[in-house]
Amino acid sequence: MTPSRVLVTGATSRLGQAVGRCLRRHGHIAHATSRTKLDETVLSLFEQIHHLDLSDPAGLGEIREQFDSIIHVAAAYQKTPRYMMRVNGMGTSALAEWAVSRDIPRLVCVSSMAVYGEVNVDEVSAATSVRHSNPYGLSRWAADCYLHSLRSQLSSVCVRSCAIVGQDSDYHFLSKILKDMTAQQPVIQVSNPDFLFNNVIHEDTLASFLVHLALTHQSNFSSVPVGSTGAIPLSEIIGRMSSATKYRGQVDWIASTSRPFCIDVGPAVQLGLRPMQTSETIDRWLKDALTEIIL
Amino acid sequence: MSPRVLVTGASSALGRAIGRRLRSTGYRSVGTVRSSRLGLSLPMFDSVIALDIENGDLQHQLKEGFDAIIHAAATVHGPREWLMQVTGLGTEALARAAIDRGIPRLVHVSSTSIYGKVVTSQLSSETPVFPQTDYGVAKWAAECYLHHLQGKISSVSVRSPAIVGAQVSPHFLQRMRNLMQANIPVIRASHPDFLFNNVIHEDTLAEFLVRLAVTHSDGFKAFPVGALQDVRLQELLSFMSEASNYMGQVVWLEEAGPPFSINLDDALNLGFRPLTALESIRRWTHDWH
Repeated sequence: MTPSRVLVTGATSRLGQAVGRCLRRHGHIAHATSRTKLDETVLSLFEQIHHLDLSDPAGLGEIREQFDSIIHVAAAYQKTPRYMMRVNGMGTSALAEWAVSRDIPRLVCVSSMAVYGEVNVDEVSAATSVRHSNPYGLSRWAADCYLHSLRSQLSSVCVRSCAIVGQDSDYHFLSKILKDMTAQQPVIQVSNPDFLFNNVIHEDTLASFLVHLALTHQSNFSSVPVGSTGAIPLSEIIGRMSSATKYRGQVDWIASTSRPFCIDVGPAVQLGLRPMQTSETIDRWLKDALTEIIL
Repeated sequence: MSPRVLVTGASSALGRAIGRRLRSTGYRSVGTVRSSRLGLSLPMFDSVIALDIENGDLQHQLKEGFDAIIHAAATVHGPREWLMQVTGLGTEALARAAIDRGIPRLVHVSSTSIYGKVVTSQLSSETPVFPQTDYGVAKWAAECYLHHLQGKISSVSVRSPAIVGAQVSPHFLQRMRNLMQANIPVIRASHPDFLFNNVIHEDTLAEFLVRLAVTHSDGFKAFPVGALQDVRLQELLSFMSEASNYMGQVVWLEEAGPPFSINLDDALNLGFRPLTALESIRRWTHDWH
């Protein structure tokens, strides 16, 4: 197999690095873009790093190399609605238009479950429709719409990611609970103990899927949610976390304000996702995360 | 004191219709226009102020309080970034400024373009959205921002189909009118037997927007409006044909996607008083002469 040339945006993120490792392992040529200065670990993963701030996508004009595919990981998670729209919505639009102008045939975009807004179904699938979402989810959904409008010129796929776990991933509710447990907080509040949970994916699993799509994806436009298989009750996950951290405090199960949902990973599996079991995802995450905390 | 309402986009045909309605109802009104158009005469408003919605710092531009805002300003043409800046983010900035000024309610003119390609036979507030135009994405963004701020300001987004009246918008009926008035020999349309109701007269919409502006409601609501179904599309077009002295011929095509009508239930529950489709067109053609 001839190695592919892939451009990865957002190289400083954990997921960007996992994608870099995966590409390197398979012998592909990976370039990356980054908004900030990078350390040696990241530099070693990529052949070349291009400076790019997606809030000012004019920097794309400086990238001269040709690529077979783009894996678009870069995104803004905080700050104002305006900034998130500029980076996630308009930045993705500019990246896609640049890809078209450079005859790059394929773009894989990491999106988020936040696009769905307030979910009112028990299981989110590829057919679940989008509802009003918060400014972050909206900015990701705008990117989906813009990519869809370019579908005749650029094949793109939006991977709607749930909580990504790996080493030091901080942004989801399980990692907050884990922090509280390691800090031996006396009381931790959680909701929906019986709820069957699979809204979690390991960064390496997601990275492999993104690389697979970057090399194979054919259709004009698709969007799929991802997660793990074999949903297990949330109480069991909390139990595993509790014993892994030797937590001595008390878990309080309180009434929930939001409706829980799980994810139908079938459509993603059809596109080549090779999911782990939820229990395995959790165990791998706990092993990695706790090793790091102990070190 | 009668309610005092701020109307953005006051110089548009819809904005003027809202101004006329506010005046005839006895409410006080302030219209906003772009600062570059401040000299414009808009006698239907008590006063006119400049408001450049795309600037983002609306807190500094909006210096007074109001009982409600009717937000009709939007940009239909231009690059993607510009549409989002004015129509999407401009709405967010306006809502934040309104919250700062203690304005309790915002009535937003949205569009059925947020739905994108409709695959159901009837459009309602529950129909899935997937905007396919930059304008539709920007309108959807505006709705999301209002939805997100609903704890601080209550708002409604009224999703309008083709507006007929003095406004010239690039919708299906306007295209038909242009072709007829240019006496193009053959005009093509499809679904002759469809009970078409994807139309609203600007005065009907203005009346409803004013009603919503003074009706107390909590949270955020979004729903479509339209006309009552009465006649088939074929009859609507022959009516327009006569009104424009059209000499050519309308040819009905077989294909095109399935037509859809608009479910008015949510709007009716909030006091919407629709015209029939034929009456909407009749009032529109009346203004042609």
